[in-house]
Order: sequence, then C-alpha cells, then structure tokens
Amino acid sequence: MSTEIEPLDADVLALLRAERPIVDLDASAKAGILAAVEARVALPPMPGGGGGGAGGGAAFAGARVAAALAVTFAVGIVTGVAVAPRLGGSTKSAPGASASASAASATAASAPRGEGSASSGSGPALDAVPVGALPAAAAPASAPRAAKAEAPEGPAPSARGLGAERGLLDVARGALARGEAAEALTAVDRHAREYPDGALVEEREALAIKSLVALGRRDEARARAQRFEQRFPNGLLLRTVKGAVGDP
Amino acid sequence: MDGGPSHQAAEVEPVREEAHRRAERSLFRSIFDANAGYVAASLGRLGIAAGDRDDLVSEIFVRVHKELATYDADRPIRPWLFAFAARVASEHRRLARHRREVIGEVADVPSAAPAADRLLEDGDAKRLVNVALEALDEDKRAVFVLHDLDETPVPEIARALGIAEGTAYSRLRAARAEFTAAVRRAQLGARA
Repeated sequence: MSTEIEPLDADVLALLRAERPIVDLDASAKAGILAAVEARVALPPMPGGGGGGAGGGAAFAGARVAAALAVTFAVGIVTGVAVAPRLGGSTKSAPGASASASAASATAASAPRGEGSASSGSGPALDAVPVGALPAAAAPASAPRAAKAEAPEGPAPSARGLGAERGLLDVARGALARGEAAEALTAVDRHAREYPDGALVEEREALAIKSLVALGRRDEARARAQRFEQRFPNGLLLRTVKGAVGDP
Repeated sequence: MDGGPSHQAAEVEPVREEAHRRAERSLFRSIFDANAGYVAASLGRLGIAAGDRDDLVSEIFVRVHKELATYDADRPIRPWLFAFAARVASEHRRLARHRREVIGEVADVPSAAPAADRLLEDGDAKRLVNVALEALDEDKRAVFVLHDLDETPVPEIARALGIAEGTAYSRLRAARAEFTAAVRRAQLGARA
C-alpha cells in the first residue's frame, strides 16, 4: 500500500485553506432542525419532568450506550464498539444505512438559514492546535449541567460557547491520545479556568484524572477521582474514572 | 456502590435509568449543537443545494440518534458524522435522479456549484472549490473533503468510511489530481 501523496499546488492549497472554516448555522435554523429531529425520533416524556427532547428512547437503553454517548462528546476514554458507516456498501449494521432511504422525504422545518454566527471551530483538526492558539471563550457557559439536562428548552450554553468548550477538551483528548499528557492537562486546566461550571465539567474532570495517571501523578489522580465520585455519584464516566485510577 | 439486596437494587435501577436518560438527552443535544453546522457545511461540500440542506441535516441527526451506540468513543466524532452525511447525500442524489427519470425532467441535480465562467470575476474561492469538487465522483469527493478540507488523517478517514486505508490513499491521490485539473479548467474558462 502506497501512502505517498503528491502535495497540492500552493494556489490550490490556499484555496482549500480559505474554505476550511465552518460557518455555523444560526440559532433559528438549528432550532427548526432540532425540532424536526425530535418529532421524528418520537421520544417518550422524561420521567420526573422535562418535555420532549433528543436523546431518550429505546435506542439508548443500557449503560454501555450511555457511556458511549458520554465519551462521544468529549472524552474518548471508554472503549466503544465501532461499526463504521460504509459509503456505497450494504453492511447491515452500518450507521446511516439502517434508516430507510427517506432523505428526500424528511419533514424538517426549513426555515431560511442565516450565515452570521461563527464556527464552533472544533473537530479532528483541533488535535493539532496548540492550546495557546485557541481563541478565548466569548461567553463561558453558565448553566449548570444538571439544569441543562432537565430543561433543554430553557437557557443553554450558546453553540459557540459549547463548541469552544468542546474544542478545548478535544485538544486535551488529542494530546492524551498522542501521549502528551502534560499538554492535555494544560488544556484541561484552561477549560477549568474559563468554564468552571461549564456544560462539560464531568468530561473535563475525567480527562484530568486520566492525564494525571498518564503523568504518573497517581496520588493526585486518586484524590481527584474521589472528588469526582462525590460530585458525580451517578456520573456516566465514573466507571471509567475508577478504572483509570485502578479502583474498579 | 449499591450492591445491597435485590429489592434495594430494584429501587435504585429506575433512578439510575432516569439519570442515564437525562444524560443521554443532554449529550445528544450537545452533540447536535456542536456539530449541526459542520454537518450542514459537509452537505454543501458534498454538492447538496442550500435549499435541501436543512431537511438533510435533520435526516442525518435522526440516523445519528438511532446509531449513536455504534460510535467508537475513542475516535473523533466529525469523521463519523461525515460518513452519515456522505450516505444521505448519495441517497438524495439517487432519489433526485430517479424522480427526474420518472417525470422526465431535464434539469440537473440541484447543486451548490455555479457556472465556471463566473468564477474568477468576483474572486470567490468558495465557488471555485465547489465547481472543482463537482468534478469528483462521490467516493473520491468524500475522501478529499475529509482530508483536504477537514484535515482528517487518512487512517481516520478509512475507519470512518469503512474502507481500506489503501483505498483511501488511492482515492485521495486521484481526487487531488482531478480537483487540481478542474481548478485549472475553471481558471482557464474564467479567463477566456
């Protein structure tokens, strides 16, 4: 297998670089799309309060799924079961292939979309971005995580704030995956400074503990893991955290 | 932590399930918030017209919701989401082609790409990129967009799309050559 790739011409590369930033959807477009998704997945009402929202239902039953969901968002610690979607394939379990071919008949709200808001700037490419090069958060998310979970229709972190939070944690996760735990910890510390009560505190703390373990600072990791358990006694990442410090 | 008698476990279980469901809903919402724009942009890069994009973003997140348990949590999420976008875009194009055949329309699939001869007059790099992307078939286009716009490493692309790494490399090489040739053609056309 040849892994050599001819470099692109400089002007073509410049063209592509100019096109890399993602312009986020505006809030009204997102709200319309999310409403359409929620209507189609037909979620049952949440026990104990809260209206309809994305995320519940039979498709999500089970702790493994919940753990996969949690780590999906930021951490990358729990080992999930990967079933890659296939382009043009017919694999029964391929994500994206299981729904009927209803793309053209989707019934989403189709409000006109503005192009004003900035990109969340997160994603794979962020793994290579130094922490110091990341933009400072414009507005730290202030809604506590529990409140957000119980009242998804209420005030929530802005997409930009959430994207920036996620971006920082993506940096930490990428650094940790490369074995650069000190860099991961720097990103985590920055998240703690900028989003002390952000939406992803649980994920941040789990990453911090994992980073401390990787740095050989096991006592600090255990102490932090104990605080984690006190703060998130039902946390989706508790098992992961305990595993990281050798306390299953 | 809760290893008591079975009746205690039976009391704890619904509480735990509710906590999971709340967390799941919150996390799905977070994933949507952080990535809906990316998914919409990816559809554009895959040639889906702006007027169809919101419906298809909705379709993609319905599927994501259904398939989230299959996501490998050790992998970045965007290439995985992109694979959904590529499949939905492909289905959309097939359906549009079929519809045209049935009702005898002659118009082409609605595309984000403008005419090449308008490209360089306003120096619109986005248009030029879109025109050149139109020169690629959908398999090569997906690999190219993931690699050269999203900056996803090839092994990650191969995993996300469920193809062999060698296939991903060969598609990328071919896509780069075809994309560059299309850019040159568009530039020549614009100057002619």
